[in-house]
Amino acid sequence: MNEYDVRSSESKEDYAVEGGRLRRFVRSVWSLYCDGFRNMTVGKTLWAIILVKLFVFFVVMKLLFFPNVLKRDFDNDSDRADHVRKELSRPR
Amino acid sequence: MNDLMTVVDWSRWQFALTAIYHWLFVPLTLGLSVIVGVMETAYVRTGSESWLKATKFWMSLFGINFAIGVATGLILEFEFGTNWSNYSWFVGDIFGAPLAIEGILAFFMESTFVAVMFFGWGRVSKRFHLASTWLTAVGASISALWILVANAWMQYPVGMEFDPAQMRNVMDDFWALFSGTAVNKFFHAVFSGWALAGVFVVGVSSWFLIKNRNREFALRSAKVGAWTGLTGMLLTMYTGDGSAVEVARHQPMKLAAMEGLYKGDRQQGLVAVGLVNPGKRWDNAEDEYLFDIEIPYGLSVLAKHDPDAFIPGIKDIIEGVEIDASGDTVNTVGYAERIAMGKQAHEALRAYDKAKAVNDKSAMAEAEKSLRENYRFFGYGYFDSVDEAVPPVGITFYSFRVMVVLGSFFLLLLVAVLVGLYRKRWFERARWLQWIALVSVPFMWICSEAGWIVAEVGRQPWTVQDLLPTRAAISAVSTATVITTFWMFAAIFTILLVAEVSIMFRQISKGSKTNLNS
Repeated sequence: MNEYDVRSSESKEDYAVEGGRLRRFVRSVWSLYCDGFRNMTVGKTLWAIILVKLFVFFVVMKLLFFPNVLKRDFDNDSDRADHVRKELSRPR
Repeated sequence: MNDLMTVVDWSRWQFALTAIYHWLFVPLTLGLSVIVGVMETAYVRTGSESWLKATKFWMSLFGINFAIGVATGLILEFEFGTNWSNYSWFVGDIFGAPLAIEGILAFFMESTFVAVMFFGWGRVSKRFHLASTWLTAVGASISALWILVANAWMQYPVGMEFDPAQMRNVMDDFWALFSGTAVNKFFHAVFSGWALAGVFVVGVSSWFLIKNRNREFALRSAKVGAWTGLTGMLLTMYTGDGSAVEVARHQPMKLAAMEGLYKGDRQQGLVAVGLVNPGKRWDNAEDEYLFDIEIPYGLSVLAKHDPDAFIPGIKDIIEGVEIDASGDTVNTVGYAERIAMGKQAHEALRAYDKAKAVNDKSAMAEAEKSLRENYRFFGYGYFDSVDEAVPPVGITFYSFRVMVVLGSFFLLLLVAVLVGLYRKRWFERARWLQWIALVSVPFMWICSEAGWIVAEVGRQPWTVQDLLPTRAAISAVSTATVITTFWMFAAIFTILLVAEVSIMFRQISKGSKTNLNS
């Protein structure tokens, strides 16, 4: 086994160790969230409120009532700039 | 014009409603996270079960407030895009960059560390958990930093250059955004959150004492709450002083409105208590106040830290009159001149637009030159009369006094509670003080909201000081849409508020019936 082979096998082991650590870390983060959600008491009501709220905000309000006017009405920034320039310099 | 003003007014009401609701949740998050951090630090240092129980109890209230309040601020961003599209475009990346940083930081810090804070008990080491709790507190404050930097820029726009081709302000100095206005505003808002949360903890602890439940827990919590609240209140006052100096320097009209001051003077007094005369205008001879009690030299000291300093009133600012340190009258740029310069800037912008349409480079350069010369008063070009540039005096004047009077009351209350906690523990027996502390809790929110009303109403008619008034910042949206969404938000936020208060009451009641002492 030459020097290159030794280095190569060491780095493979390092990768394997690193990969194992990463997997364990991801698994522990996943279980932290899963167990946390599962064991919640008052938190379940709160999560329900958060989800309903986000649905109302992002789906109902944002989509139906709060379009980004300039993005909706113009295709590019140059047209948006021209529109705002006309709006802001319009004699009042 | 009437239709335009209706849309502007409804959009302003909608923005005010959203911001006021949002600010019901934010200061409690900012302050309670610190209080929970202090309690958990005590637990990690002592290993005491009592501190652990206290930490978990207050953390549960923090969680309720956090969950109900989260994302309520996003509505403001929706409104920027729909109701205030001219504004959103005009402010460009200066407003967008801090908000983007805030969104990313808030998302990563809060979703990571809040999860560890709530789910990590017994799964991560005590010290890692403590670090997560503190990082949640730091993360909340950092979120506030970016929002307040953006808000401060609207009050004192710096660090940018206007580009007529892009029709937006382009940031040319990021660090200039951290102006004195921004720094004072940030610390003032964050420390006021500490004060608010301190009063909240003392109030809830008082309820425990009144009900004779978990007395040791209540006294321990009251101590942490009162110390945090007092520290927060003192620092709020200190940074409030800094804010007053900044306002005097960059927004003298707001300061004059806060004081209801029309004709300023050297050695200007501060109205401690008073009633502004609703019939007073800058150009009539009526008295400024129906009655007033003045603190001599007060306003000169407050605004310029110099008892001899001249503080201009609304009339002085409109007429462009100042008195210098040697007592000589000097002229500044009066509002009539500002309006003329603003209209020239608009004319230059129209010329630029025409030249751009036919790609006439030299005419564009000439128009741009004229625009730059007059740009600092660009926003005044939208006014036909100087009256339009005067903020609502009454609401600014009274809101300032509500904030100061309530702030002073809470300072005294927190001192009294602390004295009561340390001197033979008489707070434990002083039912009257416990009742005052309990009943006072909602007034702390009124105090905090009043501060925002001073800051935001006082700067009217501007969205961006001197550059863009609200009437120009508005989009071409229908009044009916804005009115509909106004009432929808009012309903949604009221439901959220009722949910928060009822869940919190339930949690407090439930907690009070379990053993939290040891």
